[in-house]
Amino acid sequence: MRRYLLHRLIALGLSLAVASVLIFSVVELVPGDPASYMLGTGAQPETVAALRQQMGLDLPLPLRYLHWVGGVLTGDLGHSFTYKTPVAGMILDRVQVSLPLAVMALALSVAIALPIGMFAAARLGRPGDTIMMGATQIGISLPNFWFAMLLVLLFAVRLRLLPAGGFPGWDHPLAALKSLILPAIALALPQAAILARVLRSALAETLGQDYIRTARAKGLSRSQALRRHALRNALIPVVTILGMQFSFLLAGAIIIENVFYLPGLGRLIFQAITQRDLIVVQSAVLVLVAAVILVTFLVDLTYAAIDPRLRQR
Amino acid sequence: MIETLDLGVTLTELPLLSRVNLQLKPGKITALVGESGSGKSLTALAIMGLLPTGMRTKGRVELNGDDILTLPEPELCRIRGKRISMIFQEPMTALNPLMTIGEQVAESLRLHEGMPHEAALQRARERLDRVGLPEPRFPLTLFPHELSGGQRQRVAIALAIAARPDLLIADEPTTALDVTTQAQILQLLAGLVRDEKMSLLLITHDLAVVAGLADDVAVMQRGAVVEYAAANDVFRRPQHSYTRELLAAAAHQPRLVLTKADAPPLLEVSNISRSYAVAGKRSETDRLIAVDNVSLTIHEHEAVGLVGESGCGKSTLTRAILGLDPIQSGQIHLSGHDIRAGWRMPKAVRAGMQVVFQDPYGSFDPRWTVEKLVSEPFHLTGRPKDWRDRVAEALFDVGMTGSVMRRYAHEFSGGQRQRIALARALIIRPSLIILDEAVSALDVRVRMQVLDLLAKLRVRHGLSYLFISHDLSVVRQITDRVLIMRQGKIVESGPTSRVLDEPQHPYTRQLLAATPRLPQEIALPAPEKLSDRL
Repeated sequence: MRRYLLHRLIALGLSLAVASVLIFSVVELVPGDPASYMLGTGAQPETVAALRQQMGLDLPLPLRYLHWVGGVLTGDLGHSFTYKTPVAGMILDRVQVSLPLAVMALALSVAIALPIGMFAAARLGRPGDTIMMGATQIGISLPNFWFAMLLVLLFAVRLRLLPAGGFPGWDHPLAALKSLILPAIALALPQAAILARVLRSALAETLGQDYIRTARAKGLSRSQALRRHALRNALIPVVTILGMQFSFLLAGAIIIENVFYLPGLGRLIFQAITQRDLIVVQSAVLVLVAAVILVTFLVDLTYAAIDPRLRQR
Repeated sequence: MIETLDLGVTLTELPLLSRVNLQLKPGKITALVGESGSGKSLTALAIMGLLPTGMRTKGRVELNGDDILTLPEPELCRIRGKRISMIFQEPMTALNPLMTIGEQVAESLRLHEGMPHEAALQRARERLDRVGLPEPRFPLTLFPHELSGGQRQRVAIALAIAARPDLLIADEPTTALDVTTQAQILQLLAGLVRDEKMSLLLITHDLAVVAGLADDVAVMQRGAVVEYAAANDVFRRPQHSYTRELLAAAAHQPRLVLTKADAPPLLEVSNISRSYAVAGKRSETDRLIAVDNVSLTIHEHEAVGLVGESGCGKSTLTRAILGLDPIQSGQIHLSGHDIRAGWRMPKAVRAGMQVVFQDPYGSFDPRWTVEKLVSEPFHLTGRPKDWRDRVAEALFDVGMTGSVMRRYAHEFSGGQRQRIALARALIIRPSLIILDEAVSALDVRVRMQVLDLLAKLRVRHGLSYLFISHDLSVVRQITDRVLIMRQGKIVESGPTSRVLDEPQHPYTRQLLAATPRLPQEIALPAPEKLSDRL
């Protein structure tokens, strides 16, 4: 176990280091000078040079990288070119929306997918299975913004149960939670459909294994064998998909954020790109990449928790 | 007592099993013998009520007079594992890999006796002790992957007998195991029947396995029991022609091939070694030595057997000889040419030897036609213009017609596939064919045919064989010399008849003692007394 953990940790550190270099160089290599862009086309060369010096753009590349990494480690991500405010604060504000939203959507997707996947796997090839798989097929093919609009029409416009959009901030926790419910559902449904299908096929494969036959010969009913022996063995692919879904939900929610007027990470990145606010783009991408790497690490730990054969490495 | 009365199984009106009548008495071992597809496993699954969906049963299975076939599923769940238990052929996959062995044995007790967790674990401990997995070497907290195949089969037995069933069904319980492990498991099962007064239905394709063990023998053919009598009668006075055929096939000797006295060496293996790093350990001393300074020679036209249990280094040695894996020291020569792993081995040298594996289905591309499969080795020699004729000729050599050329591997039986694999090996006229457990997966009658074919081909084409097997009785029938391998070393070698009749090394004696044998005095037609001089 210790070796496995150590290997995973080394992989985590290395991926972070490589990712930071890549992100830094890609932004550096993009043509266009942030200083002249900020000052507009008519700016004097001297003013541009002064701003470049002020922003540290005249330093050699490796030094600038070290400055940047040093800043990142101490929580200083620099100042946004457009808004002149600290990037760290801007990102933190947005993470406060995006992270809870992603977690809620993920929890919801598991809560929906688990029973559906198990229900279908227990009835492989029979009508219940066919109906459920048809439903998940619809769930995958319908775009989530369309779901989102339906949800708004029903719960906000017709029933007036939940807000149609906007985010009041965490100073009003109940209102904040309420405003995340509809977006979380809209995000969760397609993910749940994918997850349910993955779980069903993983369970279907596991149910054909010899040890399930042993369990049945032991006197377990079909559903007992499914719950006690097949489920855990089928979890590995499910956890893999879950990890990928979390990374996607964190930043890929941009359309849903737009539908619900949520100040999330996706919208921040979109705005920063259109405004050529490279420092914001760089920092936000770094945060996202770090999150993905961290989630991958957690997924690896979960594998070890599920499978004793991995623990003993 | 468990009794089957006219038990039958149908699949959409198609009868798969009919009129199976067995009386399984307490303290008795009944052997159910037959070839693959004869309905042995189906009988077992029908008794357990675990038939695949779509299959229907007929007749009755009586447990102390009550028909259990008509019981609803929840009632059957209370009988399975409690009154009737079952163990299966493949111990490597029969246990849940994510659950400790203690929990898996205890689960049965918690289910059927409603025992609290602690008490169930305690009883699981007793049961594991009983099957030969005592503390402290085998704590309850072990996971299946920490055990060998034989040990896993013991765990499977422990969980099957945990609730002290009336009947244990063992479906080919030792087929996947080495001979010595097989002997131990059979002994364990016999002891359990004696001590626990349960009855045992032992399913096997190998008559020799049940000789001296079973009280009664039922022989199955095409879904029906064709002979059912006391074991002694079946072995000494077989009534049905099919039983006689089976016994004859098991004792069959292929025709004798006499080798030249002064044949030049073909394959020379000198002092080769190969070791692997053990997962989790880095130091040099912890390396697993798979092949330890092994030397052997195969002469032209000679058939040499290589016998050893799983893990003895047979496969590593074979892969080295085939030039598939590099060796760390020593040399291998084929007709004087160096054998090296990888691209450095010239095609012409590689064309000098071919291989046939245990399961040819796994080594055939399922999307290729037979003609494409058999002609594949031509990539070593260049494809001749008349390649189709050559394929037909090779197929004719192994007793098949050219009409199979456009068909696919899945359309053939195990024996036919093994013939196709032989045709593929023969087509470029190699001088050496390596047969890696090539007949181990075949039924006795098919095995007999393939062994005869091998003897015939050897004479016709002047081939040499390296015949790798864990089964001494097969080696006796087909090889001139035999090498006994254990823990990476050749511990004994010599002419086959001498090694098997007067074994010198204790390990060879142990292997021979564990090999199941049919009773000597069976009335059989005399074997072919043919011999060919090369």
